Amino acid sequence: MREMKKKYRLFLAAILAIISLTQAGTVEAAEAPYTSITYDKDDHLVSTMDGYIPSALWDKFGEETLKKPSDLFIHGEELYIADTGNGRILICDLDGNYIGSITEGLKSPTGVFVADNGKVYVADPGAKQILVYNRNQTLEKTFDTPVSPLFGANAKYAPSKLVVNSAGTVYALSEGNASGIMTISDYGDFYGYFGANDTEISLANKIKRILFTEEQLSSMQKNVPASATNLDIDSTGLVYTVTQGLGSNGLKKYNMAGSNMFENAWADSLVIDVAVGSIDNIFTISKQGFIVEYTKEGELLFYFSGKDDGKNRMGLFTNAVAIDVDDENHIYVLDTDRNDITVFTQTEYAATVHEALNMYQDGFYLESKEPWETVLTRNSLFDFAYRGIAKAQYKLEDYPKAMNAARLGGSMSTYSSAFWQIRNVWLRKHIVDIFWILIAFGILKWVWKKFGDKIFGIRHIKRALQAFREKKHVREFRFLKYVLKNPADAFYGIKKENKTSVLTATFIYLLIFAIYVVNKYYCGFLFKGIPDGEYDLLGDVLKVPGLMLLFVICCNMICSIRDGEATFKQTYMAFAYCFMPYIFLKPAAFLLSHVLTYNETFLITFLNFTMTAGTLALIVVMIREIQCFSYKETFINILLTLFTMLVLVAAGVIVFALFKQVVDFVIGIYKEGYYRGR
Amino acid sequence: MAGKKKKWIVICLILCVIIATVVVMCIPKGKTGKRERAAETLTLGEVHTITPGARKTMENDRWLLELDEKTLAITLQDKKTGEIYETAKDYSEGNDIWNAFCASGVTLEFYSGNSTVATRVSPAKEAADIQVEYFADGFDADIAYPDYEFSMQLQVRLEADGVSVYVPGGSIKEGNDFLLGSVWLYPMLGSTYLGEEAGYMVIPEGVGALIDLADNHGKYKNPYTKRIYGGNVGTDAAVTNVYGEPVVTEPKAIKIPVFGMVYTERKTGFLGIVTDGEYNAVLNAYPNGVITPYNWVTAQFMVRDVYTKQTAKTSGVPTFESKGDIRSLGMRYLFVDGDEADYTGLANRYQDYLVSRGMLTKSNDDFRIKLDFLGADSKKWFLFNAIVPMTTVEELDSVLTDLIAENVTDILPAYYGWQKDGVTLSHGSSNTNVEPKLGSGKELKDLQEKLKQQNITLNLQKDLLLANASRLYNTGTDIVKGINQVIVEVPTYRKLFPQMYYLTPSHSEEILETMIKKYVDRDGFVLELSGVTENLFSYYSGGETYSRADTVAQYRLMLDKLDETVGMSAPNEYLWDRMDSYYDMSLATSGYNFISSEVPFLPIVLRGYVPYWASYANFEANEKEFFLKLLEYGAYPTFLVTDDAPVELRNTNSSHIYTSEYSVLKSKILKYDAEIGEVLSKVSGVGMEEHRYLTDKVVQITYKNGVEILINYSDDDYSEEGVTVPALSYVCKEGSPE
Repeated sequence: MREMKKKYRLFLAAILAIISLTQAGTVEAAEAPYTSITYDKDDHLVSTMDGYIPSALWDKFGEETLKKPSDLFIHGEELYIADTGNGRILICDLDGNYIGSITEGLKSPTGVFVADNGKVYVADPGAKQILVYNRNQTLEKTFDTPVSPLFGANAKYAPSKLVVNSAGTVYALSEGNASGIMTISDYGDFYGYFGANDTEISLANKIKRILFTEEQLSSMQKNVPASATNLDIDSTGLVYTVTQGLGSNGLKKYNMAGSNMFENAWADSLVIDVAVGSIDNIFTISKQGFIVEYTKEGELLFYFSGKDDGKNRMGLFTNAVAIDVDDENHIYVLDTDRNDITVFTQTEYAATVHEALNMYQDGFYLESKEPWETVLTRNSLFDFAYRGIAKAQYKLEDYPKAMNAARLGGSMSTYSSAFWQIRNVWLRKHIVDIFWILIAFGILKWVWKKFGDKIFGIRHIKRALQAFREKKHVREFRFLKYVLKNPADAFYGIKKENKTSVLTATFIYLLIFAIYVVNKYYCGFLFKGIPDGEYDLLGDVLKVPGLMLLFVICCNMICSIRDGEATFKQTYMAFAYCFMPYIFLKPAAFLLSHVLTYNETFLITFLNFTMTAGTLALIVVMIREIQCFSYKETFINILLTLFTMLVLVAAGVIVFALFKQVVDFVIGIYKEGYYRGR
Repeated sequence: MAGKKKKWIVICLILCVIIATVVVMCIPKGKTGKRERAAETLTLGEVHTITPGARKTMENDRWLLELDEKTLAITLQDKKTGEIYETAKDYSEGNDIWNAFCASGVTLEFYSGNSTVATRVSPAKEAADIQVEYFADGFDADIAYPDYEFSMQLQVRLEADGVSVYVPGGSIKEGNDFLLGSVWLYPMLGSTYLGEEAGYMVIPEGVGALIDLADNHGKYKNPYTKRIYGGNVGTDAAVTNVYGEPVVTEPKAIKIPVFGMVYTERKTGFLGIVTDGEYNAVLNAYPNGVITPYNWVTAQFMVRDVYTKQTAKTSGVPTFESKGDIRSLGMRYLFVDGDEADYTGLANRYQDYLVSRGMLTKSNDDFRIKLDFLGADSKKWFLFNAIVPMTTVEELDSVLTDLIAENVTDILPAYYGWQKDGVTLSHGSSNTNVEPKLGSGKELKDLQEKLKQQNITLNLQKDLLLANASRLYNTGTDIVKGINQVIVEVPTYRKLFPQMYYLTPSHSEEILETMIKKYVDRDGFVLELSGVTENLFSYYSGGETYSRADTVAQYRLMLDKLDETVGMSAPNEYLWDRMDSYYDMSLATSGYNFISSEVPFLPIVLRGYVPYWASYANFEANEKEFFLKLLEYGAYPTFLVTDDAPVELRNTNSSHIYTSEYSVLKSKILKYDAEIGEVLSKVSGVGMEEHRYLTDKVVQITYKNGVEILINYSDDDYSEEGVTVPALSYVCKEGSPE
C-alpha cells in the first residue's frame, strides 16, 4: 500500500513536472499601475477601490498584426477592428484568436459597426464611402456622397465613425463636417443632420459683432461648432457622442428629438471614444488613456488608467483611440501607436457596484440597499452608495437614517424630504407645547410691563438695562434702528451730529464679518453653499472686510475729486450703517435655514432679496446724503467707484505678478551664476 | 664639521626616501579591495581546455575558465554537466557600439565636456592596454585606456559553485577630461538568442517576476531597467503633484540585488548576486528584440548620475555629477542544475547565501494578523489645524479586548499617528509625546503592559524619513537636499499638505534616539520603522555630498542604537540583519508587459526565517484573489483599522483611506485570522520547497515539512487524482517529509 502511494506520488510529481514545463503561469496582474478615483458629493475627486484591472494585452492575432488601427466593435463573441493601416476589418474572438478579415472595397477604414442582424457597416474616409457587408462578409451596398440638398452643397463627405439603429438607419460622422451627425436611411437616403454641438461666442466676439463693419466681419474666422469626436448607440436607439475640448459638456446623450439629455456630463478634453455597456453604463476614453465609467444618468463612477510612461506597463496607453465593452464588463481599449489591445476585467468591487446600480437605476431602491451596504463596507467614501441607501431608508420610513445617509451622499432632495417628515412629526408632537410657551411668554411680558417697576428684582434689572442702553457705544449701535426709520436723516446725523464713532462703526464691520462667517459655515445643510469641513478664512477676509474697505477708499477718492463733502471718516462710519438690513435679516435667515426644507425656500430667498435690495438702496442714499450729491451724481459716482475698484484690483494683481517675476529673476541670476562659476 | 654633518643628513634622507619607495612599491596592488588574494603559484590547465588550442585555461574542481585577452570575454565550462557559458555574443548585424558591447567582457561609459550622453567604450572596438596576470583559478586584468586617462583592475575567480567578478575600488583611476559614468561587467553572461532556448529570466521586480525566453518578434521596445533599492531622490527629476486625475503609481522598487536565468530544458541556470557597488547599480533585463536579438540580464554599475542643475527657480540644465562615487564593484554568479534549476531553487540558493553571510537570521515566524491602528490626523479649521482623532488609546484597548473576546489572540497591533499633532503633521517633529486627544503616555504604557500579559506586543510605528513641509527646520543640516543643493520635495498627491521633505540620516538618528530613550528603554515598547528602511538616496547637507553608500552606512549605524532587531516596513536587503519582521510587502509587480508571470521570489527568500506581512488588505478590489494570494505566498495579512468611520478623514492627508472602520472590518479580520491562520500556522518557520503552476490558474506550493497547498484562481473546480480544489479556493494537504 505504502509502496503504491509512493509510486503514485512519483507519478503525480512527474506529471506535474511535465505540465509545469509546458505551461508558464499567466495569473492576471493583481495590481493596477494607476490609482482609481471618483467624484464625491462635493464634486471633489476622491480615491476609490479599483473598478477595473488590466488582464491581457494582445498585439498579435494568430500571425496577424495591426497597423495604425482606429476603431473596434464587439458583436456577440466577436471583436471587429478597423485596421486602418492595413486597409481591412480584422475579426477575432474575445480571447484574441484570429477569425478572419474583410478587405473588399476598403481603403482606410476608420469606423466599424455590426448590426444585430449581423450586417457589418464600415466608414471609410479614404474611399469616401460607407460600406455595408452582409452576414457572409461580402459587400452588399455602399453609401456615397448624398445628393439631397439637405446635405449642403459645400459639405464634406468623408465618413469616419458610424452607428446603426435597429431600423437600419445609419448615424455617421464625417471628417471636416461640423454640421452634426449625418442620418442616412437603410436605402441610402440622406435624412438630415442630428445633434450638432452649440457654438459659443466669446465676449470679445460679441463686442466685435456690434462694432465691426460688414467687411471686417466677413474677414473674421468663422465660428464653427466643435464637431463630435465619436459616437455610440444603446439598445434603445439613443445616440451618445463625445466631443473634445468641451469639458463639462463633453459627453452627450441624445433623445429621438435630437436634444441632449445630460446636463453636465464632464469628459476629458482629449476624449476620443464612447461605448455603452450592459446596464447602459457609459465608458469614454481619452487619447492620453484616461478611461471614465459613468452611470446611465451621466454621473461619474470610475476614473482610471492614464498615459504610459514609456516603461511598458500594462493598463496604460500611448495613444488610445477606441473603447468597447462586452457583456461581462470587460473593457477593450485600442492603442493606435502601439498597435495593441488592452483588456480590463472588472473587479469584485465593481461587480457589486454594478449590481446595486442596476437595481437602483430601475427604481428598486429597497432591493439595492443590501448591495449598496456591501459596497460601503469596501469603500465607506463612495457617496453614490449613501444616496442609494438614503432612498431606501426613506422608503422604509426611517427618516433620521435617510437624512444621515442623504447628507453623507449629498442628496439634497432626499435630505429635504426626510427632514420635512421629521419636522412634521416633531411639530405634531409639540404643537401644544409651543402654544403653551407662547402664552407663557405673553404673560411674562405683560407682567414685566405692568408690575416690573414694583417688583424689586426686576426693577433692578430694568434699571441696569436702561443704564446700559444709554452707554455711548451702545447708543451709537442702537442708532442702526433709526437708519430704518429715516435713512436720510440718519446719515445726516452721522455726518453732522456725531451720532456714531469710528469704534462703533468698526464694531459693526466686525459684526457683519462674524455674521457672514457663521452663516457661511454653520447655516442649515440645505442652504449651505460650501461643502462640510471646508474652511477658507483668508478668502473670507479678502471677500468681505477687504472688499468693503476697498469700496470705502475708492468711493472717498472719487467723491473728493468730484466735490463731495464727506471726509473719509464719515464715509467709513456711514457705510457701516448701510448694512443695517444685513445685520437684522441675515441672522433671521440663518435661524430659518436650520428649520426650513426646500418646500419653503422662498422665505429665505425673500429675506435675502430684501436684505440685498435694502442695503443697496441705503448705500445710494448714504452717498447722496453725506456727499450732498444729486441722485444722478450719486449713480455716476458709484459707477466710477466700481470702476476704480476694478482698476485697483487689476493693478494689484499686475504688481504682484511683476514682483514675483523679479524675485524669480534674481533667484535665476544667482543660480545661473553659481552654476557657471562652479 | 658642520658641512659634513649636513652631508650625512642629506644621505640619510635620500636613503629613507628610497626605502620608503621600495616598501610602497612592494605592497601589492588593490589594497583597498576587501577580497585581496595572495598570488598563487601558476599551474596552467594542461589537460583541460574548452576550445581547442586555447592559450590559457584556468580551473577548479568544478569549472574551467578561458579568457580572450583582447576583449576580456570569458568562457566557462561546468565539468559536471558539460554546460558552456560564453560572455561574447555576435551582433555584427547591429551597430558597432552594440556589437562591441556584446563581444566584450567589460564595457565602460564616459562623460566628457558638458554632454550628458555617455560615450561607450568596449575593448572589442577600441583596443585597451590589457595586462593579465593568471592564477590557477582565475586572473587579474589591468585595463588601461590611455586616451581616456583611465585604468582599473578586473579580478575574475572561479568559486566552488560559480564565478566571481570584482573590480577593487582603489584600482579605478580616471583623469580630468573623461569621467567614468558606468561600468558593465560580463553583461552577456548566460544570454540566449531569440527563442532558441526554453527558459526564463528571473528579476527581483516587486514580489518576483519571470521574463520568458521565447521569441518576441520585436514586440517589446523597452528593456527592464531599474535601480537596485529604488530610485534616488537626490538626483532624480522632481515629481510634480497631480490632482484631479488618476495617478500612475510608482513602480515597485527592487529590494534584493539579485537576478537570474533558468534554462528549463537543459535544467540549468544561474543566480547573479551584486556583491559590491550594489547601491549604485542598475538592474538591466533585455528581452530579445530590444536592440539586440539576445535575452540578457545583468547589473550596470553607475558611478555618476545625471541630474538637473537648477539655473532658475523652476528650470535647469542636465548635468552629470562632478564627484563620482568610485568604489569596488563585484558580482557573483552561482550556477544551479537539476531540480534546483528553477526560480524556487534560485530563491532558496539566495536564502542560503544570505544566511551564510549573517544577513538572515531566524526570528519568531508564528502566524499573527497585523492590525495597524491610525491614531489621529489633522485637518484645516479656519486658520488652524484641527486634530481628527480616529482611534484613541481607550478605543484601541476596547477593539483589542473585543478581538480577544472573539478568541483572536494571534494579533500584532501597531499604532501609528499616535504622536502629537497626528500622523501627517508629526512627520519630522522631534516631539515624541502622545497626542493629548488620543490619551496620555501613561495610558498607552498601561495598555502595552496589559497586552503583554496576554502575550501581545504593541508596536509603535514611526516614519523616520518624512518631514512635513509646513514645519520649520534647520534646512542646512536636517533636511535632505538633492545633489543640485535644492531641497527635495516629495509629492503626497493630497491638497492639504502637498509636499513632504526628507530628514537627513543624522536628524532621523536624533529622533530615533529620543524614541529609544522614552519608549524602548523606559517603557519597554517595540518600535516599527518605516521610511528609512525602504528609501535610499544620495544627498547634500552641511556643505558635503553623501552617496547612497554613505546613507546606508549612516542608517546601519543608526540602527545600532537599537539593542535588538526590529520590524521594518519593506526594508532593503542591506538592513536585513537588523530586521525581525518584514512589513508591507507588495504581492504584485509593476505590471510590465514583458513579464510573463509573477512568482513569490522574495517570499521564498524570507520564508522560514523572517515573517512577512502583505500590504493592507483593506484596499484590495479583488478580495477573493488577494485572500488566495496571501496563502500562495505565505504572507500574513495586515489591516488598517480605525475606530471611527473614515468619513472623518475626508479633509485630511489620509483622505485616501476609504475603508478602515473596525466595526465594518471585524468580520473580515475574523475570517482571515481563522482561515489563513489555520493554514499558515502549519508552516511557520518552514521554508518553501517548491512553487509551481499546475495550470494557468492553479498553483501548487510544497513546504519543506511536506505540507502542500493547492490554490485554484479559476472560476471552475480543479480536480486531479482524487483531490478537488473548488473554484477560487484552496486545499491544504498535510504530508510527512520524505
